[in-house]
Amino acid sequence: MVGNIEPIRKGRVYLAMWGYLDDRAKCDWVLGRFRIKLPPIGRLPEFRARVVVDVFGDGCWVLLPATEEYHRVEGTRLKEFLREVLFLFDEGESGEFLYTNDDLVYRTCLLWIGGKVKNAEFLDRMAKLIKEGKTKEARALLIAKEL
Amino acid sequence: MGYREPQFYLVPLRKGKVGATIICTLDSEERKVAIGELAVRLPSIADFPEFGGKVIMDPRNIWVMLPSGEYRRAPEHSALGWFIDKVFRFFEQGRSGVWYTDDELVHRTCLLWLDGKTKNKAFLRKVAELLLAGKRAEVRALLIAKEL
Repeated sequence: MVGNIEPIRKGRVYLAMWGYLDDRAKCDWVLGRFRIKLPPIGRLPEFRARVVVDVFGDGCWVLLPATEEYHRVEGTRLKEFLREVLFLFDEGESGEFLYTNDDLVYRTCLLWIGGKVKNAEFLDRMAKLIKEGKTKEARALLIAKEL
Repeated sequence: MGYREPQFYLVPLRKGKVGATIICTLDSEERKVAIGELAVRLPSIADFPEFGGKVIMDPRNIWVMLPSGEYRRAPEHSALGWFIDKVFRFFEQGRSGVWYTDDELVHRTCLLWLDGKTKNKAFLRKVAELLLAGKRAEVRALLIAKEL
């Protein structure tokens, strides 16, 4: 953790701190005897999910399979696709994020952010098939692009 | 300060790991920031005397309490830094690790400097010299002359 404490007025300070939360035991931010304990996130499924969006729809993240890092989605097109299939998302425990582990949604995202598909019509088509429950057709379309 | 508080942001970074940002003010009461089930208890600073000190310093900054009770940060690399370095023996270490003093003469010297009532480094040098020699009555006289 890193942080900064700055006195504002007598008996009042401004605190800004940045750090990481993970699955392990609580992390502490310590400045002398000043200590802030941070909770683990192990019980929150949204931070292990394949696709995560924030409740405002501004932030979208896709888990990269090789590194297990989250790729932040830029641009609007994939976000529009995710909005179309938002019914497949669950609400996370934090209340700030929605998440899904749906295979079709995930693979569509990977194709898009991997640059294998640049045509927005593909996303429209996928959204339509998923919403109509035509998972076999959606899967076939994905395989064709993945190969 | 112009921000909504407290603020607690999370950003997914990798599987099972998020970046967290907390921005808030702390005072004599304990507080809690939470996002859903994730809660962080923010301690009170009531037991930290340094945050009520008249002059506070860390390795990079000096803050001086104004008569209004607000703190003003001294400009970086100013002569005031040199003065504080000279009179460091009047400071004690707070529980958070920052240093502070309630010494009246050190404080008044800082206020004079910040108010622009004296811009002469020789004045700071003289006050430091007298303080270190324990000649507080002379310092007081010097300060009154500038304050008037």
